[in-house]
Amino acid sequence: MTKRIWLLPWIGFLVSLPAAAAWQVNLSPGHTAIARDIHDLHMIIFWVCVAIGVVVFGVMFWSILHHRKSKGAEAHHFHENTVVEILWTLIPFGILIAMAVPATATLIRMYDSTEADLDVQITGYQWKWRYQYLGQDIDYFSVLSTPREQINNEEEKGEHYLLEVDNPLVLPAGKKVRFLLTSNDVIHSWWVPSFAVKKDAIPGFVNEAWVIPEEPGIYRGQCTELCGKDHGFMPVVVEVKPQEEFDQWLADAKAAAAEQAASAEQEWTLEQLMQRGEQVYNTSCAACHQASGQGVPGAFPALAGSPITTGDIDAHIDIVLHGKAGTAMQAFGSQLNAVDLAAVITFERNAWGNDTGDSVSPQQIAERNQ
Amino acid sequence: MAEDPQKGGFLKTLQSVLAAMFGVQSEHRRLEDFSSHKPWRFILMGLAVAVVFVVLVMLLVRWALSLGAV
Ligand code: HEC
Ligand SMILES: [Cu+2]
Repeated sequence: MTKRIWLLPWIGFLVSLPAAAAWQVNLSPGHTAIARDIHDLHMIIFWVCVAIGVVVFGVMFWSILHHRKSKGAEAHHFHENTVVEILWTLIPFGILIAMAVPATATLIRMYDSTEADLDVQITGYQWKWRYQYLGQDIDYFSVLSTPREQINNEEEKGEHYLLEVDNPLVLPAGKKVRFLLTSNDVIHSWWVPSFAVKKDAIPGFVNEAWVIPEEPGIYRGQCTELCGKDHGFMPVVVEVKPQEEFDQWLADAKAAAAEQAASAEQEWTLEQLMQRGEQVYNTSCAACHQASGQGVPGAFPALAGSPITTGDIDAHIDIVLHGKAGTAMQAFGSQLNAVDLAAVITFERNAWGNDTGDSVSPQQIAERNQ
Repeated sequence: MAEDPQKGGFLKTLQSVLAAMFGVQSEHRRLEDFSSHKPWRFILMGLAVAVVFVVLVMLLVRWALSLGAV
């Protein structure tokens, strides 16, 4: 009995294995053919490593036990053994080649982004994603939608805390979608584990990746290249819809874009602009300038009482349209539409006690944004 | 040592170079090679085998890519 006591931890380990499966420390199998291939490769290679480990350590421990000094073992002195040396070079070589063949086959398929049904350009920004459906006139930003209160621990955190956005990327199920990835500022990386797609978005480069989403549903991911202050606050959310629903979404999105264009022509009251401006401010500006308008001293200037937000209107419009080169202040002229720009500038000129009473119209923005 | 103790010969040099690339050589052959006074035949054979190796790898990659093309 006492001799078998060493078996106990092993029995405990084996019993706990089913629990480990639920614990999910392993690579997830994913939801596309490529993702399953990668998962299978990972498992094959894992078991190859386990087998090698068992054989190598087994032989080693067996040798240590059976040739121990107390049994009167004498070391055998020899200098070289060419046969053994050739064997221990050839066997790992053979194993590596055996693993490389299926891995290369999968890699070649992963890089084959030809014959796509839909092209989407994905651009990383500090700290949001921009999705452009090439040839479809659809172009929008996808921004974190987790309320600030949850982030600041003033509210209970939701189920998809920091993994939710206002406008997800929408894709049709069963179609090959090619992604063209680039960045507007620093290196980001677009990652959706379920699709096994993880690609760097690099300024000045266009990287390619592709996916054939199988099941309609919502898939979540994150930026995986450290990109500054809000790196953990620019999640990726993909909504896969059946083809008919996707077509409907596409038509709706185009109609909304047309409506947007029309609304730039209409008259806006100060109140309407303020209301819309606050929303735009909270999604596009508050990450840096803060909801309080106080900024972050030394990093992002306060907009409350700033000489620009209370001074010359044109100078204010210009910095928001064109940003400031070499600083984190981006050129929002290409990111927001004229109505949102007019609204957010109006908001900044009247919030936090700025009270200039100024109202900026979308037409004014369009004029300066030539 | 006026006479080169190793007879040389193309195949023997090739064998030595291949053994060096593989990383395993018997002590007997190593001593024999290192007492040779003609390093150039090893250097030239080494360069030639390296070129052949690179070409083989390139062909292998081409072949693998052609299998994957859909
Ligand atoms: C990524 C961080 C970031 C975001 C997001 C951002 N800004 Fe800025 N902003 C800055 C920085 C940094 C400066 C200071 C630039 C400089 O050095 O002059 C600045 C300056 C400004 C100024 C000039 C203030 C002054 O007194 O100098 C205005 C106005 C402004 N931003 C408006 C906006 C608006 C409107 C938005 C949203 C549409 C916005 N910013 C979003 C970082 C940001
Ligand atoms: Cu990022």
